[in-house]
Amino acid sequence: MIRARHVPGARHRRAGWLLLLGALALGGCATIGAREREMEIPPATLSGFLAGKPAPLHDLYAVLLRQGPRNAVLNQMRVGLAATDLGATDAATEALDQALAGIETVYAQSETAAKARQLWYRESYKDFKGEPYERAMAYYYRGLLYLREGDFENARASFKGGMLQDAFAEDAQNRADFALLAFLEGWASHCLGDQALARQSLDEAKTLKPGLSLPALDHNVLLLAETGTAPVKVGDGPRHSLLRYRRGSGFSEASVRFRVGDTARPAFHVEDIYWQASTRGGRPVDYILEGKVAFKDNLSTAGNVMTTVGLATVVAGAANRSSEATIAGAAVTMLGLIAQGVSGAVKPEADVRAWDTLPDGVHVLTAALPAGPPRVEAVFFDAAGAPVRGMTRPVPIQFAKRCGIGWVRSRSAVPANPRAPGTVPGG
Amino acid sequence: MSRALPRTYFGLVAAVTLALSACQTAPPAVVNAPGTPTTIQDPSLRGPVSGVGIEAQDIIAMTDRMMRDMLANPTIGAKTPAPRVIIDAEYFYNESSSRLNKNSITDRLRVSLNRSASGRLVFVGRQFADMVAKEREIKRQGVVDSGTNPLARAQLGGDYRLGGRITSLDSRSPATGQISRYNQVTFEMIDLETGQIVWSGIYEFLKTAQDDVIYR
Repeated sequence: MIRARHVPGARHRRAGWLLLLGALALGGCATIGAREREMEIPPATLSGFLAGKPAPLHDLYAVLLRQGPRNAVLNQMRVGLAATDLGATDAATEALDQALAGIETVYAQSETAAKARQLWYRESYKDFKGEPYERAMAYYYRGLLYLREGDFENARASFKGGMLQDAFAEDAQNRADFALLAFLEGWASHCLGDQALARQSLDEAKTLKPGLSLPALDHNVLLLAETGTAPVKVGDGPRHSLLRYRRGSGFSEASVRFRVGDTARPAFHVEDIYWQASTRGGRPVDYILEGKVAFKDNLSTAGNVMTTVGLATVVAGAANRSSEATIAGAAVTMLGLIAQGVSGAVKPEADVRAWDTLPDGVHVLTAALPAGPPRVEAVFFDAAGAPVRGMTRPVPIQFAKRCGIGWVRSRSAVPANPRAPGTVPGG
Repeated sequence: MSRALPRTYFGLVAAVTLALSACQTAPPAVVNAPGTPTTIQDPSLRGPVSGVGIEAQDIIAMTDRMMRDMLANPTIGAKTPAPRVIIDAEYFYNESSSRLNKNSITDRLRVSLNRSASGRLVFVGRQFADMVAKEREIKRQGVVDSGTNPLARAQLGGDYRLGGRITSLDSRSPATGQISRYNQVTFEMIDLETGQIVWSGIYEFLKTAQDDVIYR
């Protein structure tokens, strides 16, 4: 039997290899966690889930199921709006109610929220509740459904709930300034015949948007038109840790006229969704992400320095035939690699998951029309005041109790991509 | 081959295995993937999911308190003959920021009162007036017989009817992310001849919650 010859430094080399592997594992470890991946759904389960749901929305529903609770609110928002656009009121109501239930859930002592604060998890690890403008818009769409069915009290409660979501702006002057929601809150009170409360909310809307025409006492129809595309979330700044917004692109419509019978009346641009998104100011989570960036950068710098110094020491040790210097250099290099690996594992990116089917702007007009009104159309115009080619839409008016509502969009709310932006990490 | 070498390989293999296992494409870990079987919970207690709006335990607490208070009121609870009351949501207004079905409040109040009043109150189901009118009509047309109850000249008129209002006052602190909602629910019994308010009750509560900082 041949005994192994003791090789000086072999133990150090083995330790070095292990350290190196550990560093590589940390640094190269796939950054997509299991929670962030889509689930495989057995076909039988999927078809059972889709049964009875509107066919044009099946892709959206499938993604809702595959992406699980982490993106449930976002996917329900998209389903709800798309269903509203398709006239599938029951599906829209169910989806938006579930989205609002998620929004109203108080995340205190939540494991996922706690992890999203940790160094090793992206902010997008958390369950999506949306930024305030997205939450406010979910309440807006739910409120519209209540208006359609003549439940003006719950419509008003929805619009109030939406306004509350806008109350967290860091910048005080942009706090609770959603004129659209204040206006609709007033409209709901108007439809209830409660003119005192209506006046209170409408005056608030008028303060926010001085050019807004308030409904006359005999007005019974609300016409709403949505133009453009949603604000785009961008991870900006160091390590994409700052959430920034860009105005949606690829559209030219800027204003709307409602043609009622022979007369065309301009609608008032009551809300700019991009402006609502981008004027919130800083988020408290930005400070957490800033801390992650600082930790990541400092560790990376330290790792780089240690690796460089370590390698230089190894080279010098080899040149001078000094095993001690070589071992020391290798150890420092390993530590540097570990530091770089740990730095690579820190995830400071801002959450850019976004409700991408929102509009850019909302336009409003009220009128006194008989039930079974004349044909109403929405004609969309560009910023220069020219009609946008092929963009004239019929506006069906739905009456319930003493009020009617017509809602139209320049663009479909059924998204081409069933997955919302940012929901597939690295995708 | 030396003995040290296999140990080294073993160490390396173990390290690689560990590293790979840490990074492996594991089946997505869904929160509570198997779900939770149905559990029956006491609706008068705060449930596992709650917010700052009006919830089941609030409805139970407020209707219980209003019922006791109403029955203790001599004008309503001790009148002879027993007064006829209408308790529904027709004049019960929701001006709060909570989306809710008002019937869940008025129905519970009516049912609780009806079960506890022991004949001291007569409840008129005005929400079923259409149903009663249709049956009366076909009885009188001879489409169906008159049943076992004697025919009445008309449906019951009410002596008192419930009115009320739900309001709320919300406040939020951008600094702390705290949200508070003061909920106020008023109940009033109105004399349907004179408009006199013969009984009033109020139920109010304040709820405060704070989201994780990551959601503020």
